[in-house]
Amino acid sequence: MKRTLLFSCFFLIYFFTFAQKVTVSGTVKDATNGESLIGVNVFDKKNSKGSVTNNYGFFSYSFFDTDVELVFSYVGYESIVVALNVEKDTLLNVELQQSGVLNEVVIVGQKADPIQESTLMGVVNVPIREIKNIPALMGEVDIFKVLQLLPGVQSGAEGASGLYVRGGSPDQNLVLLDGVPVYNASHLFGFFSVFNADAINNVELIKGGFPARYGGRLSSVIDITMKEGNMKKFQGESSVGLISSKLTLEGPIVKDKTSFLLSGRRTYLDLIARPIIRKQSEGQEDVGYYFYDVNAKINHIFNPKNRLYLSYYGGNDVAYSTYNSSRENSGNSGSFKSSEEAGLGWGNSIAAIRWNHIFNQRLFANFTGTFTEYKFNLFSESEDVFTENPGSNVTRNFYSANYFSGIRDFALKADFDFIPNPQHYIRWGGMMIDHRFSPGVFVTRESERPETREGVAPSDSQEFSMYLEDDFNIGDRWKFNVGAHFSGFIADTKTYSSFQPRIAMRYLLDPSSSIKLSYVQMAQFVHLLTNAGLGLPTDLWVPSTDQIGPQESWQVAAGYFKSLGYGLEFSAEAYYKTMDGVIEYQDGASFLNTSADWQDKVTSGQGRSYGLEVLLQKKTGRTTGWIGYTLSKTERRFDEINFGDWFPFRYDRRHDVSVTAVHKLSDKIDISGTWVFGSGSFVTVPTQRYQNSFTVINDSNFNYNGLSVDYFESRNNFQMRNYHRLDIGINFNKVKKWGERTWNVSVYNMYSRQNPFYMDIAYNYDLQRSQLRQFSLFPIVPSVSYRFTF
Amino acid sequence: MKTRYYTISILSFLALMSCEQFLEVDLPGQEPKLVLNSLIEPSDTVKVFLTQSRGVLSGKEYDEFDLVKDATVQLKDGTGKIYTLDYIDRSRPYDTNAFYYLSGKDLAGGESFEISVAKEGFPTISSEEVLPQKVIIKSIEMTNLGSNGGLDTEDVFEVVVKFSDPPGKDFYEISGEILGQDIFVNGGDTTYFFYSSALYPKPVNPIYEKDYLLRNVILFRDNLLNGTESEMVFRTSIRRNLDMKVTIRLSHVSESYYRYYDTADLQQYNSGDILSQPVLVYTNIKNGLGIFKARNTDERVIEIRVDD
Repeated sequence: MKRTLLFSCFFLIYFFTFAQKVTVSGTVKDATNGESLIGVNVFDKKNSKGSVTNNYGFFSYSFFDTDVELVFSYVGYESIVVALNVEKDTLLNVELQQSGVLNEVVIVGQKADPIQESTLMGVVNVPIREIKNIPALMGEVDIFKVLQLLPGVQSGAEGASGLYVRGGSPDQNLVLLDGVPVYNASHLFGFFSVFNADAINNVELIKGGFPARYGGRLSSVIDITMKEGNMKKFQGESSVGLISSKLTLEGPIVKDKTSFLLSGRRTYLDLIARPIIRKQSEGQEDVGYYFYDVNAKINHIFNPKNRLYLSYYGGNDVAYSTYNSSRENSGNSGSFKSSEEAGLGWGNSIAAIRWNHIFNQRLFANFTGTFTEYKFNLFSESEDVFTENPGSNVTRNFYSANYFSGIRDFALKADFDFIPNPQHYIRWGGMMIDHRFSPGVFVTRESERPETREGVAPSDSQEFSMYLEDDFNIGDRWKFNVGAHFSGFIADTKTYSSFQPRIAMRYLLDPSSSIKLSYVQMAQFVHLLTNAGLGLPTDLWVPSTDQIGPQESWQVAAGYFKSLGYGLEFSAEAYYKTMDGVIEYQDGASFLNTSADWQDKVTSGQGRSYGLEVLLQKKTGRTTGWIGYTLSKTERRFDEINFGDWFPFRYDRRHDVSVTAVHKLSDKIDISGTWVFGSGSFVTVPTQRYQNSFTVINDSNFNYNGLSVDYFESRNNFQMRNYHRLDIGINFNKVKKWGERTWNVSVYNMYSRQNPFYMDIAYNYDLQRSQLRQFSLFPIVPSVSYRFTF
Repeated sequence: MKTRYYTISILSFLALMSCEQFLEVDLPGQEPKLVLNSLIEPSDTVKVFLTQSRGVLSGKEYDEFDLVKDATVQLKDGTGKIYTLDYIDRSRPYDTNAFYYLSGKDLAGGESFEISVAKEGFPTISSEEVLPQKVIIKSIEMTNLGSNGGLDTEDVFEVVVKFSDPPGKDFYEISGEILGQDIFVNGGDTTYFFYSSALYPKPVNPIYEKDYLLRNVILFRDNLLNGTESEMVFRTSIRRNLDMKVTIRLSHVSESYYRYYDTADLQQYNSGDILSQPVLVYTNIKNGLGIFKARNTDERVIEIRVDD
């Protein structure tokens, strides 16, 4: 016994002396502009183990040796090998050069982790450069439109930028811009998103298998990271298109220490149309619409262990009309002036301050304070002024009506990454949010009358969350991500809480393929009331209350993933998801009815969705792109809608196909194309019309004769025609002394398919009978834009 | 309101910039169905109105609906006895009034009835309904709250109708009318003045307000009532300086009655509002459409005169 004990102690001392753990950590950046590189593979050739950089370019790798060769690789960049002989923890900051290979074209910025390696399922990372190359509606590059091309992601109505991920509605997507939630990510009534691609560094979509660090929404996380600003040199990028123009400037304030980024975009159709409209109306009328947005960021490195980011986004949409007139009354009895103004506006303001701190080689932390606000305003004002001659009496009548709604958040977050050894990557953190909801107030003012106010007063709620997760390996084949997310919400007199386990596993069948399984539970405490699902600015964000509880879901997914070589990756993933507490407007409810509390206009129920997603993606070579196919079904059920029966979700598209390709013909020309197909979405259409109830003589004083009832078989009983369209684009690139310029010509909806946007029943006077009438939005739309970098 | 106008204008602009086309599409469910509308209550005549529905793609929206003649309409009472209804057509130009009727049959509260209609070319339709028991008005209290917003001619009254709500799920309707008259003698001339108005009851508790109801009634369910000590409080306006007879009716209605008016009136109210959700109108007719509903009413008449 004693001998065994002595031997064990000797062995431990021996082991400790000759196998002391050493950690190498640091950041990986782009050598050209100093941007942090996310997801760089850090591979130990000797031990066949490794790590990846996190969202701030930080990595940490521990090993039991003094000699190590670390390979840093990232698609689109030249790999480097760093040989080290170290006896203690070492800081290593690396800069990677972009690849200058002429014959092989790669998608720059794609994560190096092959698809079969990680435990994450339902994750798609789309490089920003690829997003910019895909043909766009009216030439306006849009991140959300590209995400709609991925399997498992449905678009809503034609042209709208809403995302329906695995049967969920747009409010179930956590859209983050530099870690700050964005509540309404739409410009132009949903036709474009608020994200200016020139200011964006990275876009990641997570559809399932959510790691514990994410929470607050049921269906997806869209994590968008802004560029940090070029630390090395001043540069700019600009584009002029049919809809808008953009300018992005970035550069060092202090080289390698402080950088800035400033990007702005504005439409200008209103400026062009204004003189024409004024001339036509003899100066009396003005009508217009415009949107703008601004992204700004400052990035400062105090020292290798401390870094500060300040970021800001502001954007607005404004639609307006004004009318002014004046006249003299006959007989010189006086003059009359009338002015009217009406319009609507909506916009987001987002600000964040983030501090990265490296405690030691294995512990990284990020502390964030954020502000986000979304406001919507609808207004009309009119004033009539009558002046009696000889000018002594003036009569003024004034009327104004304003409708406001919005949401505002203040939040504090702390996130920690701890990498004790190559087998474990541990994350934990917490967040507090103070919400203020203003779900619709209508204020009218009239001359000589007191102000009237209808609607609900703003309300405050607090939301908090914490999480713990570990990404760990068991042997060479098994990898797990196990964690839990706990969140709570304080509303009125009630506190809701939710414990959400998250489990994902990966089993490597061979070095190039794996199977993955995941199970997650999610909870969501805020809801979006949407009338038509169009992403209209009239949609309202409302909290969970004593009456309306949170939404909850659980999702299970299984998939097969394979790297095929030649830059091809294949995945097939099946999922099943149920949702509880989803809310919907009741039959007959309308957002414009502010006299009713919103809680009395909605009902809560269930949803379920299941499907199969297949994706074949090519990331390298002269031709890149993907083919995606989704087979899915999504339904909803509410006690007070459709008589309590299940009915198809409005955007339940049974089949969804997208084919996207970008081909580099030469250094100067590249072409791209997209073809999408989706089964028709559902609308509620009456099938019969019948006589309303006749009155009997005793029945009150109302005669119903002449009124009819529209009979609906069920909600969403009619499937519109299938949707498909082809977009093509071509870029003409030229390198100039001052930079590079690109002419882009693209065609949206090449064969002018009349895709359904809205349907109703109407009388066709040509045929003298009623028919289904379909409205379509965009026929063939060519566009041209010019962009340049300097 | 103007804001609604501008909202709809802007949304219409979106629609106008789109392309419109008519489609030749097979919309299922276009075959006409039998439509039955009937209200049973304790009276000596049961009336059943029968029409045909129309597919939405047939005809125009405001075309009249075809009457169904020569159908076999039968009413079965709680004892199982079957009565066949006769047909009568009292229609005049622009005033359709044709129905099947049964006279001389007393309908008692608590009794169940089944109606069936057979007509060649259509599946047989049927429906069942229970005539609710009459709920007696225990008392009515009226309190004068003063003039109606500055109008000198009428006062606002708060009316409390007390009754006993039976156990189980129950539905009610409050309605009524106000009749008044006065006689003026001036010199040798005598002038008779008659006044008639609906009750226009407005519930004090906003939870009972249903702005969309087409008739001036309060239609409510018993989930907030207090059992044997139930009451409904509402306000109404009564004209001054006339001898008034205020008739207040408390109807105990069937669930079908409640659900039908709650949905049909809401659908009618929202007609033309593209931003509102579609409303599915309740029907309890098997193999057909329409509504078979029931009502049992108690009423009180209060004589009142409000002087200046």
